[in-house]
Amino acid sequence: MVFSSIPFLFMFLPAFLAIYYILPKCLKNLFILIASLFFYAWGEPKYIIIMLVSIMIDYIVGIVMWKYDNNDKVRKIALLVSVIVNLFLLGLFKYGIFITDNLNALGIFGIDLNYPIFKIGSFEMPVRALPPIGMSFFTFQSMSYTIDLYKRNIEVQKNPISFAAFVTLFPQLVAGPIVRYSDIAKELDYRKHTLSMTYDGIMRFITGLGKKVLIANNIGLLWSQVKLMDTSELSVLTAWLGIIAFTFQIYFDFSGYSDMAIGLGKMLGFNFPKNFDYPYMSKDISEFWRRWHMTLGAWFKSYVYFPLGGSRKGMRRTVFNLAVVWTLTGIWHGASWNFIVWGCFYGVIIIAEKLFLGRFLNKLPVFIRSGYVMLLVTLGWVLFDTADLTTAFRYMGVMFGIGGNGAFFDNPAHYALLNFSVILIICFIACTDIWKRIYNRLYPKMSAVLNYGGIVYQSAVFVLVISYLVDAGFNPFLYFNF
Amino acid sequence: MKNFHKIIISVFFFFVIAFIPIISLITMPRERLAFSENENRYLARFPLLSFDRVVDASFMKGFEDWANDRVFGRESWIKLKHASERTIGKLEIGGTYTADNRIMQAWNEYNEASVNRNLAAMNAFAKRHGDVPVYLMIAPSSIEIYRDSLPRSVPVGSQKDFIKYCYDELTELTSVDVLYLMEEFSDGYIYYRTDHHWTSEGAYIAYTALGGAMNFTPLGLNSFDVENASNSFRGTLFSRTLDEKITPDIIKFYTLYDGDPDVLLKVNNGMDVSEHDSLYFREYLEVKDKYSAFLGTQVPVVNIYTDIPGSSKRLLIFKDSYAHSLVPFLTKNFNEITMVDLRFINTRYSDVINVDKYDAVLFIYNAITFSEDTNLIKLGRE
Repeated sequence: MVFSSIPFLFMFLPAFLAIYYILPKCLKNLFILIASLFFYAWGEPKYIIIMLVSIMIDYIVGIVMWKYDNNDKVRKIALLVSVIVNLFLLGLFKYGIFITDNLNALGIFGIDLNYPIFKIGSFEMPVRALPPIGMSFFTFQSMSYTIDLYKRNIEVQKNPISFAAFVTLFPQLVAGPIVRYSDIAKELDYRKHTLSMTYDGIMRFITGLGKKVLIANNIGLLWSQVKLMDTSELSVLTAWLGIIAFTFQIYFDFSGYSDMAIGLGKMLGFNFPKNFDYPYMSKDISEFWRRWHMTLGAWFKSYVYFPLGGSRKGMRRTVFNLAVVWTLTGIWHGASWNFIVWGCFYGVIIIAEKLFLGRFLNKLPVFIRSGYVMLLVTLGWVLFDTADLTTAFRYMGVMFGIGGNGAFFDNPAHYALLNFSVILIICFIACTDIWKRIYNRLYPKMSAVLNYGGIVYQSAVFVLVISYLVDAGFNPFLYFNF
Repeated sequence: MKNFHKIIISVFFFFVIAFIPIISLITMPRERLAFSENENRYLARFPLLSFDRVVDASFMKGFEDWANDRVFGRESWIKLKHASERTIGKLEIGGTYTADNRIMQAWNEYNEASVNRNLAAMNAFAKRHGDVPVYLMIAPSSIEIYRDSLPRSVPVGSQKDFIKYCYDELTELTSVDVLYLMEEFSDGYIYYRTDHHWTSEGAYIAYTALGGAMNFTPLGLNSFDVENASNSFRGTLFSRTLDEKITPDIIKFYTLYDGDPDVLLKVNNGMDVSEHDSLYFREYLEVKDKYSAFLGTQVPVVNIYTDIPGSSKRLLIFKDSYAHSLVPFLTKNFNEITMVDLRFINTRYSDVINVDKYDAVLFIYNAITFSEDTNLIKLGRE
């Protein structure tokens, strides 16, 4: 179930909240667990088993570490078990097909390997091209618990229900933010439900809905039209408009979903970490990645980059560490060469910025730096969302006048401008913090007007969102399969 | 109170998410099958529940479709969406384009495989009933005729090419061309401005074309008295865009100067048969769906018996709603006309009608419905 859908908004959510608020505190986590399992099973009835296995292992690993608090060897083995099981499941169910295909293409075994399939008796779970929903998120969340526990950063969670509720917690289950156990350890067992939290939650949730349904879906239509065309039919302007549309679509889609998650979390009494901070306003690529999908970056920093030594072991080692982190970041996004190249692309830029580019960039005026970031980010999205690398490079070629239909401007570009210019302008404005800054400046002087104006505005957005959901022609969800 | 606005939005939010499902459940249409005129499709049914269907998630998918289609005030929500799209200047709204005081249904491409299946089924049907001549008329829709009123870059498929493609595939049927006539009379009022149908004038042009091909003598325009039955018709395309600036349409009835012959209509709506003594259902002139004044709403089968002295010709028509403004003209030449709407027939067609008792069979569809049709294949099997 996705948040931006009629069944979630008008069935799951009201039923869940009504029961959740009525239940006594001691039953709330159990109910979150049951409801979250239902929520997950709704979209993934079979592969829920993988999530349950991952939860069970990590819970037991936690208990073992706690029981053998003085035995470093046991604790180490326990941690290894958790990391290996989680990475094995992820490797198998997310990359199984990709790895098999590539091995077969290399032909080193002489025969073609079959795709892996999971069988218990007559029960079959074939590995699919797309991983089980949210798998990349919940394995990372679950691992954050065992690793932090090993590092003694957190207390053990003895209550299996609380632990399972943490992993399955439906607002953040399928698409993040990647909530680490330490982020909500306290709130899992003690949390308050206040009017202010609920209010913030509702406002944030509606903001997310609006970003996703009104902006991302609308501008996404343009990209979906361009994507259907063969690269040889594209004009320069069509290619640019298409990928600019996707640049906006993925930002509003993903950050909208994070806003919905954070908002729902607040309605339930949880404070999830922020996931986006106006990334398209960044002045270099390193900054972009501190402001885009922040919880993923933080995860890799804490559990890969720092353990490898971070930037404290000399320049060569830093470059190596960055290369590892960025290759992994690419792979995390999906089982295809596009994502690997995409990750390496950012790795190279970030290393270059660290080595020399950063110093040079610092001297340039802001608008040039902004242009530099957006040009690279946009090119990155071509790698990210085209069918294969050949298409990606052909597409980039068209953007710079190589290949395509040879024209700069043609009918599809004209039509795209006629049909989407207002939405494009809205996108440009909405991905900057200009509205927030005006709001913050005016708030001390006219708080009442802004408070009531704010709720009128959000109510209107909500009503409009419902109208778009009822006529649900086009409602894809981009980060579902990561 | 400092926090009053927080209470207001919380109450509003919880009220909306609780109230809409409750009112939707209460007001939901009771029948399992509900047809949406605006979208020209059945609303989703409640899915079958079984263990297998849960495990492969098809139950959940079906449930979501069902829930989407049964939201309280569905049509109004969709209108709100389209109004907002119009506000931000989108050209294509709910599958329509607007230009020169006219709303046109968008059409760009067709699924060749499914069209080929339909044509093959029609050929097989015509061959099976070899003694009865079978005709096909595909009417262009307004976007084909008024394409030039739109910006050049708007992607519009060529219905001319599509119709020619279909006609070329016919081996057992006779095609009847009407496109060139519609183009010739494009200055006239041949399509509604706010509805996806042709007007009675447009249908009259088709009637004359059919006369030539099917060997009957169409009555001249001067034999008809034209009645402006309504001049406040806002049709299905208006419902999609809600653009009040478009002039409402006029519904015209063409009746003979000497008075129409007596008719008897037997309307079979799938459940029971009702009888009427007029081609025009004037009660629909008072409601939104005014096009249904022509022979009523879309139903599985309508039999029309006309009292024409000294003649006994029977015509079977497989059709979409374009037939409804055309058939009143045809009743002047055929004593018995049976209109069959395959969208509503779920048994074998031979259970519903005896094809061989007719003197001719006519398929009449507009290009867009024909390109999207998934029901003509039913004719492939007897």
